[in-house]
Amino acid sequence: MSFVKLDDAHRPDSTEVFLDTSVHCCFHKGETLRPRLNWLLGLFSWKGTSTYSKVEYGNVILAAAQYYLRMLRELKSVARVLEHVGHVLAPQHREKRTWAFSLIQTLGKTEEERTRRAEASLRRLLKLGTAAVDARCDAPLADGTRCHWGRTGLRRGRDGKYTWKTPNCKSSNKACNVDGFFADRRETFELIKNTIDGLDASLLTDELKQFSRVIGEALEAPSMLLDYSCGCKLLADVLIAVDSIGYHNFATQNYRESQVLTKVLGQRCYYLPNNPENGVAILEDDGPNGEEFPTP
Amino acid sequence: MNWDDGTGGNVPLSRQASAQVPLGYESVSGDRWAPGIETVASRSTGATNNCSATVSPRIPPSLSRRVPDRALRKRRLCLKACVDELEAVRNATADAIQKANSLAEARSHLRALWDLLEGTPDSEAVEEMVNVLQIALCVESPEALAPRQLVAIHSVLAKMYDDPDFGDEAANDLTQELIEGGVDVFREIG
Repeated sequence: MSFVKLDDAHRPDSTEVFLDTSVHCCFHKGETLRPRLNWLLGLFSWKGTSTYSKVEYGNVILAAAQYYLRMLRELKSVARVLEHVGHVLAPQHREKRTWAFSLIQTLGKTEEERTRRAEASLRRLLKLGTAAVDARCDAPLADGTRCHWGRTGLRRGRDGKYTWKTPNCKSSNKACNVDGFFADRRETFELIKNTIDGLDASLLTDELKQFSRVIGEALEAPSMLLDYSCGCKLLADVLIAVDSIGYHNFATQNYRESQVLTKVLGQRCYYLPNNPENGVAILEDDGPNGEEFPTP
Repeated sequence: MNWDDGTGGNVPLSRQASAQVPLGYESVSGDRWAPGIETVASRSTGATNNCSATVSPRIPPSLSRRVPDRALRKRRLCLKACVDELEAVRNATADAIQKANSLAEARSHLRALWDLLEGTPDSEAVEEMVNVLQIALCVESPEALAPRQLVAIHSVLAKMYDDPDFGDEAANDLTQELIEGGVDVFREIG
């Protein structure tokens, strides 16, 4: 298996594509990804995704928007916030370095205006919430897990302020169908586990090992998935991948895990690397007929 | 005429007979001759309450709004001008220079609206949408905007013109419309 860089002449086998959460997050990763993302999406006329992606989108994008908004209100300057994020924030909070506010620097005449614009944009993003995922895809979204948090994770306080709450779902208070989804697709999950277990050590990642372990536990008791932090959260990529059954094309930024999952599910894996030199790549089984992807 | 007649003068006070008005069988005091006025009889039947429920007190629109009419008119002026300029950008017969000029004009009208909205905490949602639209129109040339993007931007501006004082829910609908129209609404923070 190897990734092959696509050229402009590439035409997909079918017209639909499934977007995993990493692709939804790409919309907030700046100008290096945007043209390639638009090109990739332009190849397909139908874009689908899983409702479970909304939780991950909330945990990544909305939580970061909330953080930036709080910092903006505290420091009252977008420049100071960027400095804080760049120099003060500990390395383990790398995921907070999501935005560069590049265009705001161009539009705002003064620091005051740039700050006002940044705040307006972040507020809008937060208020829109996970509806951004719906808006970028064709309805209906795949909803195997019937994820409850994706619909209710964004809360509006009495002061009118919006907050994204980190999921705290418990099996004692069942609110979704993740266990039923697992039970219905038991054989597929089992196949994924067996494939991971049979992988060459060079292809195994910590995340893939975790998938195998959690699937093993869920095969014994699917209800364990109802506990967010020790259940479905640890199996998120697999749940989304299994929800994508029926789609022939799968777009992602997580090539390490997706190259295994798409192979099991018989899908073509489109990979959008962060490095613009690598363009957009596709996973080829053998006999690549494009330019071979150097180091994914 | 005797000044004393009927004026009270030196005529001893006496109770005057009330006018006898024949009432229909279905009539209730107060509902025919003085609708809405509560009388002892109507109170007992609740007729006044029944009538008052059907005629709700009308609050003039200007009182139910959070933003003064004058400010709304100014907003509408900016939005109308912007809609008109965008129509010129969408006009297939216009040449490239005309389109570029119209786009620049549309941007300057939005800029005026943005300035107008400064310091209006009650209009957060409107401010957010104006910011989003300014970002959407921040392109090098009109050709950079695809027809479907222009359609979405135009439609959103027209809706904002219809109601220039909207809240978060309406702003969410407008944002979704822009995203569905292929407009990268959060480009500025990317």
